[in-house]
Amino acid sequence: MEAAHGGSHGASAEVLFGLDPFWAATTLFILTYVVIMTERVNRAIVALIGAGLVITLGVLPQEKAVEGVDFNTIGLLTGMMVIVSISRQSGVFQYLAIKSAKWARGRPWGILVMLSLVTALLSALLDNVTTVLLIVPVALLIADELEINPYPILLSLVMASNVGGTATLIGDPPNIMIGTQTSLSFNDFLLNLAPVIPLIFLATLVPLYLIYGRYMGATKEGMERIMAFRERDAISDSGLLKKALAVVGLVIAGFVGHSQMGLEPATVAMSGAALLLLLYTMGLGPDEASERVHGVFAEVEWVTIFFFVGLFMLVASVEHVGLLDYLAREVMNATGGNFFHTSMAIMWVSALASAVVDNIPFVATMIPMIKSMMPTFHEVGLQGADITAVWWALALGACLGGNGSLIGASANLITAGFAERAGYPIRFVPFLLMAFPLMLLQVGIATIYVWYRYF
Amino acid sequence: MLARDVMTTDFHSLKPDIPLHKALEPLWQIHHFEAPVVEDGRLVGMVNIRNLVRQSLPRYLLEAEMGDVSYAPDLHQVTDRMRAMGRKTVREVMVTHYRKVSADTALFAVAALLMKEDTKEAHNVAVVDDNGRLEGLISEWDILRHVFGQLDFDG
Repeated sequence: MEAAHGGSHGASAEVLFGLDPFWAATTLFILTYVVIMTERVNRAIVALIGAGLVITLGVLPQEKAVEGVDFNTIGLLTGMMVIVSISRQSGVFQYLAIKSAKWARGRPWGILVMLSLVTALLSALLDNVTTVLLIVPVALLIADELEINPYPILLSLVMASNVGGTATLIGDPPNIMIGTQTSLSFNDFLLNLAPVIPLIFLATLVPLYLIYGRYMGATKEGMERIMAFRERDAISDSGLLKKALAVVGLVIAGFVGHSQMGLEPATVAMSGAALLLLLYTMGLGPDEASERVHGVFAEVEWVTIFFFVGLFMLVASVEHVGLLDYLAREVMNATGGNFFHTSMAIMWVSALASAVVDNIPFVATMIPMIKSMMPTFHEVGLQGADITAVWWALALGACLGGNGSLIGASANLITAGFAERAGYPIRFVPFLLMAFPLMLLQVGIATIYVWYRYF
Repeated sequence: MLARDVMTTDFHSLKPDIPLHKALEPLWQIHHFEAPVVEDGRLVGMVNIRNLVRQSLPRYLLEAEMGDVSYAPDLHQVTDRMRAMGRKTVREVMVTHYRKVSADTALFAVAALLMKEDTKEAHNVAVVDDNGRLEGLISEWDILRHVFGQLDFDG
């Protein structure tokens, strides 16, 4: 057994009930992922129970489990959540959504394009769920004012949020994990992923235009109603807006310069969050200030944060017992260590997997696996490519794959929830029939891009 | 004091299978916010004015974070939705989760129930017997009238 899976780091002596640590960790890991996939139990609970069992059974000492938690990811996520939860109260998201509808002069297809563009840009800088949470309701209101079916707009917004999120280190959880667990900087993501995103965005709009856009029409009265929106009234707190814009500007500047300054993204995000909290509570009495701080921290999505914590511990356990090394070696055996073939396989497997399961646990597992493939890549030869190409392949596959089905990404489910309540339910199969081919198109473009640029 | 001491027994009740626009006609005069729906003497639901307005608004307006929507022009969907709602039967639009007590419930418990946040749309607590028959209704007004209204402030 030891020889087969490459050693258990001598941990077997401490494991309870005489369990082999390799099989104990592997079984727990698979069981946890299966339960997460069934979505019967909240994913944070499942991940924490899995992590608790790994430690309790003695597979992984608590110290090692805590070491496995990537606090760079946790800090970056939490910091951005705090910044967004304060900024959103200014009404700036509603303002942008309405403004984009007016830029399109109220024409339905134009509104679809402009709203999607705004969604893509916001998703690149914020998390996708927050973006659709704030943009989709305004899109529904706009569709109601136009008296048109919102379905094509919602479909396009889902795609736009996942595509836009792919562009930056902070845009999507897979990128956050890749960025914080490798030495790749914010600018590396911007220079390597962002260039292909406009192309993918435009390529997605073409079929949407042919299928929906050319038939989308609205009455003159409807378009006049859109032009009668007073977007300035959507800004509910202009003082807060200025503070938020200043801090967001600083944070983005911090991300752009983080590697030159020797700072991790988490430091930038958390410092920005603390600064905005200070500005947000400045001049208030102690009671009111602490109430506001409570309110802001309560808006942090703790389910996501604790899900990450549990997941990182589980991944640390299978890494510790050598499962990921073993799998990496198997992959290397299958591809012969060929860098191009492996990168492409990683992109497509990531895309297909992300379409059906949450891409967060998938990427969390893939990162240490790919890291242990690195020596083989160097040994066999990189075929003139840059070693980072494999990370771009993983990011593009995992992020774009989220478009493949209704359950592929959280933003899709949030949008479907709103659509249902507005009386235009998004069903699983019709969405799949439209979204899956679009996802294949997007990953196809990404494949050509990676092949053309890096190999 | 008990629920039976403060409850109103002369209420206007609605039948479940008539259209809403017919059922509401007598209510225009008496300005009631809520009317019990009674079938064979048993309470089956409540028609609540606040809830009717809620039903005529798009749900995303109320449930999503949209801020103050005064930036948008008027939606004539609201009128359309109200027209559609008026044609539905009372049973289709009534609220089926309402607060109920028995006639022997203590007054303070009734008052506490009325103040509960999760049912703040409701105006009355229904007083029902063991067989679900409606015996009376209690609103904040009834409590104030029977307690506060009986106090002697001149002594």
